[in-house]
Formats: sequence, structure tokens, C-alpha cells
Amino acid sequence: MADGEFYEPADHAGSDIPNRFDISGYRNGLFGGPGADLFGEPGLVASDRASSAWQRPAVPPHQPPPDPVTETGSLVRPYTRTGGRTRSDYDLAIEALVSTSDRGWEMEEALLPEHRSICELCMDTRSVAEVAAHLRLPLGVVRVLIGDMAGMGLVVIHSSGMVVGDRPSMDFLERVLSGLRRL
Amino acid sequence: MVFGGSNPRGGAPQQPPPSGRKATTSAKIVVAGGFGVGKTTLVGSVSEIVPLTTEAVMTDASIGHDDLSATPNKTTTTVAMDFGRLSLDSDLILYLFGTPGQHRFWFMWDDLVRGAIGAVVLVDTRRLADAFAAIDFFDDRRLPYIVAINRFEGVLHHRVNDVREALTIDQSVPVVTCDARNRESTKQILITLVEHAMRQQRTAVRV
Repeated sequence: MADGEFYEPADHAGSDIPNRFDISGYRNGLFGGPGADLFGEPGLVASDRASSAWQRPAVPPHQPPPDPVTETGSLVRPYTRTGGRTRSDYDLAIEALVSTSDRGWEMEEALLPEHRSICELCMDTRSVAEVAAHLRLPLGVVRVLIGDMAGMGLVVIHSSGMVVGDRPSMDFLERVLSGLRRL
Repeated sequence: MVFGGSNPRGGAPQQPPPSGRKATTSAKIVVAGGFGVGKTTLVGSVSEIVPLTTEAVMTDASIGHDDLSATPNKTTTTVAMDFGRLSLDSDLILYLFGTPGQHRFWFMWDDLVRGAIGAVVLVDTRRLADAFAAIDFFDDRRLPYIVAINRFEGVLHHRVNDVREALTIDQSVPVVTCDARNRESTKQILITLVEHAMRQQRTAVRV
């Protein structure tokens, strides 16, 4: 949810400060050096793809930043990313919702690229299927990755709840029905 | 593969959501039908996101082996599945999964129907046979479903009963017409399905 609850940590990299005022010749002098991060814009929602584009003005906004995980070229077999494992300790439904935990948020810098991508995506609560679609990875691979991350406490899997056996409960159906009628 | 709810089979227990964020619940409805019948259009007509595509790869993964390195030359089948998302409440998200209704994709149907509210079988009256496999499957799994006839060039209302007869489906299964492009029409379809699922559950309780 882009409701401003979760913010990007301060940008310590001092890296690519955007040139908002088109004064390229003065860029280093004005925006470089110690304290350059003061010019960073606070309050960007971390998971907003647009914010990445903002930090790197050279990249058109509709292209996600280059990231090995999103580049699923056919040269790499998908299950390489899971060490050949095709199953997870978690039994994840494709619609199961995943959120980055506080721990995943704090540890972001130290994570594997795959895990970091998932942590970034799941700053907004998303389903397993959405994560797979955004990362362009097969569902099975994403299930294993998310299962690992849940085991490490990096993400939280929302409990599906309100299910009797394999089917949603009557109360749950009522909720869905009234939600649909309100649309 | 065995999939189901989001309960851990082992490992770490589920944790409460991170501070400041409440738990959200998701629901799932399956949209089945032949190629080109308008599944993605129907999903897109109500989805709050542009329908996304996710892929399931049928390899040894689908039949339970743990290591693919032993079969490096194995051919794989990839099935693309389009889906959309609909926030019904601040803590309730409905996902609509559109899936091809052919036998050869059954490996992923088990996964799809587990925990689902039900299914919409979208049909084109010119290609009714495309719906048979899906209807058989949902009957077999006792998944509540309705049949929605997509009006491509305006289907006459009296043909609804012909369709029911041709598909040999139970009288209790709603057969309705729809315009997959129209949000209001799709919303009605979903309401009809959920009401049908509730009716079916009430009946099951009485029996």
C-alpha cells in the first residue's frame, strides 16, 4: 500500500544525486561532497518503482533498475536460484499474502539480491503470484524463495484464516459478497 | 506438488505482521475457459491493476522430485496465467486467476482450486467444447462454479438453456450471459458466483 507508512531508509550511498535543476556543470560542486545526502528527498515510499527511477534520472521510469533477479534470461535455469530445490518448508497458496517484516526491512543491505528484490516488493503486501509476476520468475521458484525468507524472518506470511477444510467459511464469503456489492 | 493454505509445514512459526501494519486476507476466484474466450478481458475489467502474468513451469518440480540437475535435458512446459487484483476492503483482497481450460494444464489446477471461492467458466457459444474439461474438473472437485456466456455478438437469451443442455450441467448451476469487457457485468458475475457458493455450502451443511 502506497499509504506512506513505510519509508525508504536514508540514502547513505551519497551516490547518484539527481540533477533536478539542469545545472550540470555545477553538479559536483553543489551536490557532491560531505552532506550531499541532505539533498536527498525524504519520504519516498521504498517500494515505489518510480523512486528508483528518480534516483537514477538516466533510466526511463518505465524500466525497472537493472537487477539480476529481474533479468530472467533463458541462460539461467530458474531453479538455480533455489539451489535446485523445488519445494519449500512453507505450503504457500498462490494468493497467500506476503509482507516484508521489520527484520527484512532493517537487514535489506545485507541480503542476497533475490531476497532483497522480494523485500522491496513486499513493502506493500502482495501475493506470491504477484511477486512471481513482478520478478518474472516461475511460481515454484518464488515459493521456495519466499519460504526461505519466512524461515529467516525476513517476510511475514499473512494467515489465510476463515477457511473450513479446503473452502472459505460462510462468514468469509459474506465479507467477500458485501465487498463486491460495494464496488 | 502439494500446496494449500499458507500454513507452515515446519520451520518458523507465523509471525504477527510488522508493527503498524494489520494482517490482510486474500480470497481467490478462478476464471476458466478456452483460449481467446475473454478470460483476461474479464479479469481486466474489474482488476485494480493491469492484469499480471505469472508462469508455472511443469518439470520434475510438478511431480515431486527435488533435484532437476539430474535431468538437464528435460523439456519443460510453461503455462502462463493472467491474474488481477481487487481490494474489497482495507484488509481483504480478491484475486482473479484466469487459466486455460485444457486437460494438459491440470497439473496447476489443483493448486488453483485449493481454497478458492469458486470458478467462473467463461464460454463462447461457438466453441462450447472448450468448457468441458473445466466443468468436469470443477464437478469432480466439488468446486462451486457458474457458467458465463460471453456475448461476442449479442447472444439471444433463449440460448442460455440450450447451453445448459449442451454442457449437461446441473440445474442448480447458474448459467448467465455477460460482457467480459464491462466492469458492472463482471461484478455481477462475481456476485452470482459467491451467492452460488454460499447456497451450495448451505445445502451441503443440511445434507
